[in-house]
Parts: sequence; C-alpha cells; structure tokens
Amino acid sequence: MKPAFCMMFLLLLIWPTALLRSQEPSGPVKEHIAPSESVAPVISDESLPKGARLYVAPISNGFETYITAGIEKKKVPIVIVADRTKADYELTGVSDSDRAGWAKMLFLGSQQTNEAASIKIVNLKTGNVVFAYSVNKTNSVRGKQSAGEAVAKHINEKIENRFH
Amino acid sequence: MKSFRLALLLLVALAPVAVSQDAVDKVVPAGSKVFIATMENGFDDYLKAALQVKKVPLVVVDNKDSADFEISGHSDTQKASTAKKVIMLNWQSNEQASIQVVNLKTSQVAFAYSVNKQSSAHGKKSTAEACAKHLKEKIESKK
Repeated sequence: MKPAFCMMFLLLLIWPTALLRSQEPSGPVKEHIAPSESVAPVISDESLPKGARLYVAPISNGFETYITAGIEKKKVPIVIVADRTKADYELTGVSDSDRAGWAKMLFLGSQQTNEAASIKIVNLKTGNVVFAYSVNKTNSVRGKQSAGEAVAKHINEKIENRFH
Repeated sequence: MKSFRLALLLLVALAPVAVSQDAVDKVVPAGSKVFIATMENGFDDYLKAALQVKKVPLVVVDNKDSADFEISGHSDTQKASTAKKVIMLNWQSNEQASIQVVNLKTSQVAFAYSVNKQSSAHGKKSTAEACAKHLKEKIESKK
C-alpha cells in the first residue's frame, strides 16, 4: 500500500510541471505573414506531360540516385537529364534515415530503418510547383530504395492523372 | 488548307523520330567508354572490380573527357552494431547503393539501379556486383 501511495504522490507532484512544459512553444514563434495579392499561386494544377525532361537535383545522402533508379524501375515515362539547362522540370527534396537502435532490435527483433523523404517538382519555365509528395516508411524493407520507388510510383500516377 | 495538311503530315512523320531519339539515348552500347566518378566509401573501386568480375562489356577510362558515359552514385554501409552481434548473432553489414549511367553527349540518364542488402554476405562487394550484373543485363538487352 505504501509504495502505491508514494507513486501517487510523485505523480501528483510531476503532473503540473509536465502540463506547463506541454503548453510551452516548442520552437521559435514564427510571424504570421499575410498572403500578398500580387504574388502568383506557386502550387498549380498543371499536369506533368509524358516525355518531359526532368533534372533531379542532389539530395542529402545521395537520395537523388535512388529516385532515378526508382523512376527507371517503375518505368515512369519521363526523360531524366543530368544537365539542368536541358531540363523542363526540376526535382528537389530532402531525405532522412533513422537506423534501428538496440531497443528496436531487442524488443521488436527488427534491424530495418525508418525512412522519410519529401520531394517537389518545379516547372523551370513558370516556376510553379506541379507536384509535391512526401513518404514515411517505418521499418522500410529496402531502406532508401523503397522510399525512392514510392516517389517514382506517385510521379507516374501524377503523369497519368491518377494522383489525388 | 494545303499548308495545314503539309504541316500535319510533317508532324506525323517527325513524331516517331523524336520519340525514338530519346530511346536511342537510353541505349548503352557494348564497348562504350565509361568514367566512374568518385563515390563515398570508395564504392567506385568496388564497382570497377565488379565490372571486371561480371565481365561487363565496357571500357573503364580515367579521363572524363574521353568517356561516352559517366557512372555516378551513392553507397551506404551500416556495420553490425554490438546489439546486432549480441542479440542476433550476426556480424554482417547492411548495404545499400545506387548508381546512374549518364550519356555525356546528351546528358540523359541511360540507366539507373539501386540495391539494398540486409546482412550482406560480402559487404560492398555484393552490392557492387549486383549493380554490375544489372548493368550488363541492360547492355545485352540493347534497349
């Protein structure tokens, strides 16, 4: 009975502190910027045509090559070029990998990584974002390869106007 | 009306040429000269060795100016942690790599491939040989 009482007392003592912490802003407060009427819409509904020339910009951890390989594997009907000046569209993005820790190995018996990536495709002539997509794979079976192929699959859907 | 018909005829005649040009740029012919760019963890050296082991019909050159194609890529190794060794009794590393072959004349990516090997039997050697094997298949397909 005594340990239970002690536990309850400790919980009551910690509760208000935890509550205060959760109400604190986690990062620097960003100023709200009102959208200007003169600025043209950045994200557009324009389609991504078949055979378009796409330049894949360097992404952290070499993720750009995994996207290129994914596009090749999923037979996405676009032409990838290594020279930005010869491209109609540019793909940029970020990627992050989270390796399995000892606890995950011990309790879940899994050594697979968690993968997160986000990309956007910009029309280089108009500057409009024609497509944006993010993927998060917990326990990714094939690491970055899976994330790269997911990106490629959804680019294909965008080209075929099946992306929602 | 006549000029419109003529323009239409020209368009129909030239369309397959334009389409097939992109397809031609994606072909990696046997005997092509390739330059292998420097990659992390010396993966380029493993790739050179793998191209020899798998008898890939390409000529590797050290000068990018004299090459027809450039192979660039990325490689990542996750060595077995103490936890993996103790809990799973496994000393093998997890490997992932990705390469792309760029036609230096047209700047078009002719081939790209990525590989992921959990508990790779021979580390980077396995991933490099997987890349070389698939590159050879691409060359032999002549597509």
